Amino acid sequence: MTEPQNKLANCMEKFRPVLLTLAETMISPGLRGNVEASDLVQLTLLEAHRNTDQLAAIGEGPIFAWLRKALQHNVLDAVKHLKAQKNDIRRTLRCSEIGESFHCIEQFFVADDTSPSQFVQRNEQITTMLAAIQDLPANQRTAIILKHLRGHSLKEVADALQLSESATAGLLHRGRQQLVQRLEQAGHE
Amino acid sequence: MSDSTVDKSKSSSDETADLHLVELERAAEQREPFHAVDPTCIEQEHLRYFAIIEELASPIRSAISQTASPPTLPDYGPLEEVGRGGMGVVYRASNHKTNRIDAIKVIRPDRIACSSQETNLQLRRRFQLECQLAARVSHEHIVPIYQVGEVDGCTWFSMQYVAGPSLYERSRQKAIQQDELVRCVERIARAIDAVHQCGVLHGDIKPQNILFDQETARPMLSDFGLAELASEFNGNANDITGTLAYMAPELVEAIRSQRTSDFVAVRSVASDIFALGATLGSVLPTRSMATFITSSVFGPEDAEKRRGELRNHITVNADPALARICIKCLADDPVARYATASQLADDLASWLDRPRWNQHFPSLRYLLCFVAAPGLALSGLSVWLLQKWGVNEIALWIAIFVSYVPLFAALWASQSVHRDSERARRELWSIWLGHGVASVACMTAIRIQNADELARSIALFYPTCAAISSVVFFAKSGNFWYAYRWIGAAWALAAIVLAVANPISPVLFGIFAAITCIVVAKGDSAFADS
Repeated sequence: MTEPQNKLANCMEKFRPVLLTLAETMISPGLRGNVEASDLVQLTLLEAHRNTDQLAAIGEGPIFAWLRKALQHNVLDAVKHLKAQKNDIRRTLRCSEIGESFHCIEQFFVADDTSPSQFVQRNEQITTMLAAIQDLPANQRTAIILKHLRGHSLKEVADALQLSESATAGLLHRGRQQLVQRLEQAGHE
Repeated sequence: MSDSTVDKSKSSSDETADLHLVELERAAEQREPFHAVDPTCIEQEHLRYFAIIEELASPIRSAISQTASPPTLPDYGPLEEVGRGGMGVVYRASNHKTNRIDAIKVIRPDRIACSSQETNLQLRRRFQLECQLAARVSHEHIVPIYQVGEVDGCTWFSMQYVAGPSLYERSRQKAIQQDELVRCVERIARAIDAVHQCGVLHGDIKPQNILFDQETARPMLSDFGLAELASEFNGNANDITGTLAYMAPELVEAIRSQRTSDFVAVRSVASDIFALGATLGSVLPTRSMATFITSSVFGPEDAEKRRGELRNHITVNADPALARICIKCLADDPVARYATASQLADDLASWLDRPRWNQHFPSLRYLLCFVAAPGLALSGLSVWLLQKWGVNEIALWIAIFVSYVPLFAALWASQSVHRDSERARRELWSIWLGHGVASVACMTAIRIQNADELARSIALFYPTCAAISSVVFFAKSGNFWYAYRWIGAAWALAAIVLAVANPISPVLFGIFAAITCIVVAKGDSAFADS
């Protein structure tokens, strides 16, 4: 493997967990089981692999942007083809919502390699956090995503996980603790 | 370690701690500080972790959930959301006092990513100041700002409600003709010039910011003087993203070097001119069916690539004179661009006033090809024949100069037909009148010098007349079709050829003139069908 290809492979490895968290956040709980976040991320990375020539030539920021765009297409495609035999109005609505969400996320990330250093650092931290969420145990991960990334209340999270509120509060606290530790580690490196 | 094992092995003390955590969690949800006489270790930890994760997660969440409910503003009825931008939400609401529908832009507090409260406050003040400055701007093609205020920590301002569509949407739907588009940009350029004179820069001119008033169909420029500040207000380059595609290279360079202070310093009239040129270029309709693919701009490297694409798009699709105007706006060197927006507007206006002869005489192109060209060739042939047969000299003179008659007749007729291309018509009139007078003068002078040799006079006359034609076409290349200079060069060459081909020079001259007629009719866009 040449050096740029190596760089691309490292990049993809770095962004895989970030994309997973984003995909899991985007796919609402109602769709889980029909649309698998990990499949979509796998598909996205495969596409990136096919475009090695194009991607190896650009920087990390643009690669991340490319991956997000590809992921967006894949998520939207998956949702569109869901129950494709029926013309479901809710599906159209959901698609436009997901599209809008991706658009808004893009506003935060785009030009992350071009902005003042303070913002670069913040974006770096967000990326680290999104990646670290994937290292959490399954229940903690779901709780953190629902609570902090989708903005659900403690009760809603507990209902979704079918756990008591106290157990959920414990999951959330331990999850956050681990994330903060990871962020601090990354900060010291 | 999986959660189930943790849950199973939980001791009773852990459960008490978890119950305590529920309280803490709820307090955090309500955004109430948890008041404890002596905060324990776990409370401090909880607060700290929650704050860190919340700070990082909230921008992602606000993008996904979009649950922010509109604020209540004094004097305004319920707010109805009409759009979302990088820095805030745009609402529509009716003003109780004036009974008028206004557009209201609210800057979302969660979009402000400043490290300290102090800078936040400072930026908020500057933003208000800038709003006030922009509110002073008054021009018929600029969306006026009515009121600036603050509610629940959100800065908001109200402006005239322009329903749209934007220039971007209209160009996407192919609902705008090239001429209307150029006229729209010309008006916007005049508006920008008026405001530049007040010392305010726009900083974010793009097709999305040019809206068409539904009632008057007038193009209106929105977000005056706020864009650049908004991106600073955000504390990040969010708003720059939508704009990189229309951003002058010197600004892109400032972003690349990550010096925000440079970015502000480099902004100038020239960077607004660049944005105007990029706006015009990017919405130009394509000639073929293929649409112009606007490549996404993620970073400065892409901006450079996009500039190249844009220039290419313009040279391929625009009329050469219009392309020249656009390319001048898009010069890498700010000094090479137009010095003021009004100069750009003037050039666009004169392009719009360009001669369009075919509009005046619908079949002028065919007249040129099928009447004028054969006529000129015949006139050359007849001169040669008359000379050979030794006919009276007056008949020869008539045969030589008869071809001017239809030309002047057409110019004369156009006077009463249309006033649009008045300047161009006057210019053509004087150029061709000059050609005619000079030719007659040359012929007369040559005849005086070679009184007894008619054949020699004619042999001398034709190269001279070709040289005069060369001058005429070079003169026309400045304000008309650029290819006239090549025709001028061809006539200069023809002058030499005619001098060599002595006996048949009248015939050759006629053929050259006929070819010129056909080339002009086919090539000059002034003869094109509109």
